[in-house]
Amino acid sequence: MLIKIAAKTIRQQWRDYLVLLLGTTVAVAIFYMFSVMATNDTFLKGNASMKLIVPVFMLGEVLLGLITFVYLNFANNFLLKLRQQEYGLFSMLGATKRQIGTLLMEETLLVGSLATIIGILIGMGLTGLSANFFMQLIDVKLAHWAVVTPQALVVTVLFFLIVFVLNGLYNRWRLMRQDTLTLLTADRQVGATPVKAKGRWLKASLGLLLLAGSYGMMTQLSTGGLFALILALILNVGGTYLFIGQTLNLLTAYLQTSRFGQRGLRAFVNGQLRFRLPEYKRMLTMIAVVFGMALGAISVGQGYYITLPKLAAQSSGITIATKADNKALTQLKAVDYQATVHYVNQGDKTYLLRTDLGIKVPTAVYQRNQTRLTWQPTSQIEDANANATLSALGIYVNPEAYTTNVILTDQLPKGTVKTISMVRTAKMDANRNVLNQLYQQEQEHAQQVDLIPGTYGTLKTLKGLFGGLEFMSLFLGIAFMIMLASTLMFKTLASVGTDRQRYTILTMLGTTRGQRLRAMMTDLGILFSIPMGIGLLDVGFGLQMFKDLMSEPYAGLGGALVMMLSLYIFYYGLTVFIYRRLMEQPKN
Amino acid sequence: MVEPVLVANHIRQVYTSSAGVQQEVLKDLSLQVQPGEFLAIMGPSGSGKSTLLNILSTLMTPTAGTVKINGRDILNMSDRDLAHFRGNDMGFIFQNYNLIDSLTVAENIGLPLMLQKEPVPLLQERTQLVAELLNISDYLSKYPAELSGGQQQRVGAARALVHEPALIFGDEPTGALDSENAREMMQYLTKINQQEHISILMVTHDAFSASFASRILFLSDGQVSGQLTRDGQERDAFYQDILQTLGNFD
Repeated sequence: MLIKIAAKTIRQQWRDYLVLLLGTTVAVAIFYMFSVMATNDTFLKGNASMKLIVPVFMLGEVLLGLITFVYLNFANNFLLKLRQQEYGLFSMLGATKRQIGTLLMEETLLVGSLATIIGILIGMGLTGLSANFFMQLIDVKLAHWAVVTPQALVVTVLFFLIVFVLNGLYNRWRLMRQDTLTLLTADRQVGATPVKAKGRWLKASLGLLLLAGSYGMMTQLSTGGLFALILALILNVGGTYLFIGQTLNLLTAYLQTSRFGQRGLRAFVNGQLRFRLPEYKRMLTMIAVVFGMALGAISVGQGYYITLPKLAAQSSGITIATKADNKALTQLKAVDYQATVHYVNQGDKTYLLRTDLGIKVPTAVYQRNQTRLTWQPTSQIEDANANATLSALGIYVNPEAYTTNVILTDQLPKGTVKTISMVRTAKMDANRNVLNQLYQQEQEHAQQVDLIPGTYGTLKTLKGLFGGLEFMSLFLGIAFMIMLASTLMFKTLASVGTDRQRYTILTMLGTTRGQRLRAMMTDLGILFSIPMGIGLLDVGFGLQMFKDLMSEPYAGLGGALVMMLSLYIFYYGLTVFIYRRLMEQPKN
Repeated sequence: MVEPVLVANHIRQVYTSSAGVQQEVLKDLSLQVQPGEFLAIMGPSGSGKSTLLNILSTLMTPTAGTVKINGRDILNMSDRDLAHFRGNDMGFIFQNYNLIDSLTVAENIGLPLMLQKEPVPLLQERTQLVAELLNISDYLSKYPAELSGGQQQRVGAARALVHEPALIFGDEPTGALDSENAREMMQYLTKINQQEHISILMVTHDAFSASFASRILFLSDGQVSGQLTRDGQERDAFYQDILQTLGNFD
């Protein structure tokens, strides 16, 4: 009988349940996507740069698991809030706590199973889509990518089964501890009043100090090493926590007495914040830290993406060389250098006709350095790019490959004369398709050397090396972002009960819909801005840690910001939309 | 001839259930509230008194009829005008106090003035003044959860009064209070009515609370079924009259 009543309530409140189901589905989908990669051994081992980041990857999955757990806890809390009053009624009508507890458990598991099934299906779709999207975006091919693996299915189902059972038990335990009256009046309960704690000035200043300390530490990481990294992390988490819980609290207290704070709905919004901060500080701290990590991960990934072509550009004076008399060459745009060079191979010697080059270099012999894999000219040639290009060209056309001596001459010796074309364009991106075509044709010819001369070949090799890292940072960053934004959304939506009452009173006291919407937008906007602001600062200073590893650590920040902020703002908009609908709809 | 504060003419309210069954809750009801009047509306559950209050206080639109407050037609106002009107000309006192729990007592009282963007010094002065009138000056920096029911209701009354409205609506203002606090609350409402010259329209099912009013309308089955006027009687005598009238209805 109780199940029948419960099913009816779920039908009546289907919109609220849909929000819950959607959120949980997103969590399952992301977890599945991650698991597909994490459990795919051939994928992880088959991509050169993946091997390097397997530990990073494992850490990522642990983090994702933790966040998912916390997130589902909030989502389920939302469920409990939705039903509390009804459970109170059941209890008053004589249902035992055990019966109600079982009912709640069943509901949790029902929502959980539905979300797991839908989530895995969506996860499969997203894995396929995102892999194509990301790989195309960063122009990298990753080998052994799979959309469905049995291991991933098992891991996902098991993980969520455990999480939902634990959450169900926890909800049940919380429910059983409350008496019937508390449940019945759940809607009418007032929040705890903010405490005016002693030493709040001290704690508030400490929050600022710790945060500043952690940023100072991040800039000094190159000298401090691992110890400095751990210290920076601890200072950052502690500082963020105190800043949100104490420093901001002090600010709301100040606003309360200021003239600015007593106009229109400012006092109301300030009151909302004052009441939320003690309850939200842990979650906001976590979100701020994860926000920083996610944005940082994408910035680094993007940074590599942006700096790889620059790095490649330094490796050679030409964009690509092609042995064939290639028609595709004519399709290249913005060509600023082109030459077809005659050459003769004699054993381990390659003779290049100097006059074909069209640039001023003296005749020379490129001989291999005995200790390192570099070729040095016998004559004085100052152009490093010319040296790199010409030696690479000779090695490329000679079957002896890395033992070849390259001779720059005005008179070719007797033998079969062949030609090779070189081309340079400043616009590698605009010519991507043609270059790719040339590159692929060359790859069929190139047997002895895996590096095709020119910056495009270097870029391809670099991307193969760093592509996995780029891809992972994008994937991790976006997954974390979605999780944390959803967590914040659910936490906010779970408080609709008390908030709705407040907004109803505002309506009666004479506020327009527009005024109330503005109040909601400001209230939620501040909530979303707190972790975002701190997260942005974290990244601003945190990227300093990469200055020894990357030539331009901030290069990827712009693109990452656009991606992350659009996603974050989308979630903010969605939260305002749902929140407003919940606020303005009549209670029954 | 002084203009009435509130004029309601031929109010009808029909509810249609999801099964299509129509129920007429208010049947062609008309009433007026004179300036400075303290009107109580009494009636058993289901008589339509809450619906009537919701309509008169702009929270609900009737199926038919007109309502004018201070000469203005409240049924044909935009959301913006209506909000402005509620914030300026009307005050509300609710059975369950309806204080905002996240604001201090002072902020709760001052809220209607903040919404009208009144200057802060005026806001503080008015808040202090009404707090003194209702004897809650000591609690201004406290939160609603820290007050007793009687104190919370006085905060509610102070909030209804702070912007000097033309008319205060009371929805069972003593409904959640014990008899001692109810008596005190009604004495405060009388004070507001007589000292501040603010008209009050109150819905109640409690004869004792109603005996503080200057006139009582009895409602049954969506119609006015009777009326009692105090006409300078002692409150105790008026109370007996009310009890007698109620007895006659049964």
